[in-house]
Formats: sequence, structure tokens, C-alpha cells
Amino acid sequence: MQACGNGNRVAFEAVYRATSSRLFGICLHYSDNRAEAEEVLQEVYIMAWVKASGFDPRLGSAMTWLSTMARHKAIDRRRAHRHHDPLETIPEAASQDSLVDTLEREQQGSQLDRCLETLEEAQRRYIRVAFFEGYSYAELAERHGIALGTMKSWIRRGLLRLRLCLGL
Amino acid sequence: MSEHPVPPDETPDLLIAEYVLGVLSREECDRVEAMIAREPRHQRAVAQWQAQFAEWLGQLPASSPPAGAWARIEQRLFVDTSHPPSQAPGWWNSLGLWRWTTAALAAGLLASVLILQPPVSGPSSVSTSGLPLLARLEQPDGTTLFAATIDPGRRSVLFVNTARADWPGKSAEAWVIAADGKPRSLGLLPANASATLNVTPQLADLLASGAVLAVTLEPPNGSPSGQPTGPVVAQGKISSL
Repeated sequence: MQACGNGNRVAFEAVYRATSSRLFGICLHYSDNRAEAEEVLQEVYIMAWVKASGFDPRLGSAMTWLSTMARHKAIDRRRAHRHHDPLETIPEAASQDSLVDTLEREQQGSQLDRCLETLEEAQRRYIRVAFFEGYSYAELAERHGIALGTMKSWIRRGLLRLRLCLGL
Repeated sequence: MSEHPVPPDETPDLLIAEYVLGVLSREECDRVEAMIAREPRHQRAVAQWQAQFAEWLGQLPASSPPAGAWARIEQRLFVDTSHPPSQAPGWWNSLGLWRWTTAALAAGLLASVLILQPPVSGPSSVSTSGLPLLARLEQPDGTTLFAATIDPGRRSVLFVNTARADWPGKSAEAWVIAADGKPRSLGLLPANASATLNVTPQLADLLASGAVLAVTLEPPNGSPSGQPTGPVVAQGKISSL
């Protein structure tokens, strides 16, 4: 029993070594500063350990599970603090990492990106903005000076079309 | 713009997409989570959306966490609490993951994690990268003693021990045996701990599918001759997924 627990711990450390820089990158993106991001990172791995039964390998990869959890945790924490970044500091994903972008273009983009191309420009733009900023409809509308109804309409119509295109 | 009315019906499918995108309020999220919890079909839809959006999370630049971060996580998980979470039921235990009754699944977890890592850097790692290579090193009785994962750039091999692995008075030395049958040392493995052994460029090419990784028992500082002298405690063939 003890050996088993110890084995878990060693394997968990291996998972940490393999995933933590990816997850910390996500935490940094959605957090206000490094200290917050590290706090989120710790919470994510503690959650991963304790709530590991929530991971179903039949539904998706471990990396997706961990990455999604990191994004949710960081956004939750930021919302709880009711702290808003100035708009200027929000990175446009497209301009963030030229290596990734180049690779993306070479691979002709993911299925998601290909489907996104089929949307109207405003739909496409605000789905990306919503994802990378991590704000609610109301916050997005306020931050971008767009009527709430319009913002919802763009994003919902875009998501419905994406869903069809992705075959979900 | 105003010619697009808000779609009137809040279908579960739309709610799920909005939930994963993250645009719902806290109250709406709670409602959707309750809805999802009741319906496996919705759980699958959530997972599918998450997998799609994970592509975007993968575009964010990686960043090494502060050096002490793991120590602080360990502290909180294994030292602070009077009820160690290592006893928590869950997937780690329930699927026997780390006991290697389902060794392939555990290899799959490490592998799925490693596959999705972007190339480390530089054009050479891009060109040599591919699926990570794995080896399950078994003892003569067939139990797995180490899971080895070779990073896509073939610069290092991660050994995770999956059973007790300590030999008082001896050291465990890892070897790669390529097609020519000649063992070449990868280095010494610590007792009861995972270890990453760095690989010299000369040895990197030998770490290919079909080559064998082996661990032998040697004198405390490793084989004096550069060739294995003690018994083989575990070995396994390298394979890609």
C-alpha cells in the first residue's frame, strides 16, 4: 500500500515535469501576474491529484484535461478578485508566437481554425477574443464597447456554425 | 449588425459550447454543470469542445514555472495534511494506473502528455521529432520495473520506476543495446526515484524503435569496464506508440 502510494507520487512528479511549463504558460496568460499564476499552477496539480477520478481517458487526453483545468482555475480566480486588465495588455494570440503561427500555417491550421475561417468576421473575431481573454458576455460587451445583445448574437451564431463545421 | 437577432432558443448544445468557451456567468455555469452531470451525452460534447479549444491553449507560449513550484505542491499534497491525498480514491488508483496492471494506459498518459508538447526548440528538434518512444522494462518474472520515455528530440530518457527499485550496496545502470548487440551505458539510476538521463549526441541515434533498454546491477559507481558486469534486472524493447 505504501509502495503503491509512493509509486503514484513518483509518477505524478513525472507528469508534472512533462506538463508544468505548458500549464504555467496557460496560467500566466490568464492571470494578472506571476505570483497569481504560480498559485493557480499549484491549485491545478493539487486538483489533478485529488480529483483525478474526474479524468476519463476515453473522453480526451490528459493534456487537454490539465490545460482546460488550468484555464478554468485561472479565470475563476481572476473573476473572484474582480480585477480587470487594461485592454492594451491583452495579447492577440495571432501575434504572440511566430514559431507556433508558422507551424500552424504549414500544417494548414487545426480543424478548429479551418472552421473558424468559415464564420463572418465579427463572429470569428469575438470567439477568439472570448477564448483568449476569458471573460463573460457582459464583461466582453463592456470592455469592447459593443451592445450585450450584439456580442451574444455574434458569438452564439458563430458557435452554432462552428459546431456544424466540426461535426460536434 | 443589428439584423442578427440573438438566437432565441438556449439549446443544451449551445449552452455547452458557451460553457467551454467561458462566456457564461457564474450562475449560468452552475446550471450548465448540473445539466452536464446528469447526461453522459453532454459530458462527451464538453470533452469534444475542450479537445478542439485545447488546440488554442497549445498555441500559448510555454513558460517554466518557478524552481520551487514543485516543492511547494509536494509540500501541500504530501506533508501539510494529516490525511495524505495519496490515499484519495480516484483514477490514479481506481484504474490501477500506477500499479501497472494497466501499464499500457499509464504509458499512454505520459505519452499523450509528451506528444502534445511542442518541439523544444530549434529546427533540428523539429526535424527529428515524431512520436515519443517508449519502453517498458520488465523483470524476468514479467512485472514492469521501469517505464522509460524518450523525448522526441532524443536528448534524454525519463525512467519512472513503477515498483520498488533499490539494491543496497549496488547501483542500477541503464544501457541501450542497438542492432549491433553492443550495450552502451546511459548512466546510473537512483534508488526508488524517477530520473532523467541525458543522452550524448553519439548515443541519440541508437535510441530507435527496436533497440533494447536494459538495467543491470553494478558496483556502487557503475560498471568499471564500461560493459555490463552484473545481472540484468529489467529490460524492454523501445517502440513508438
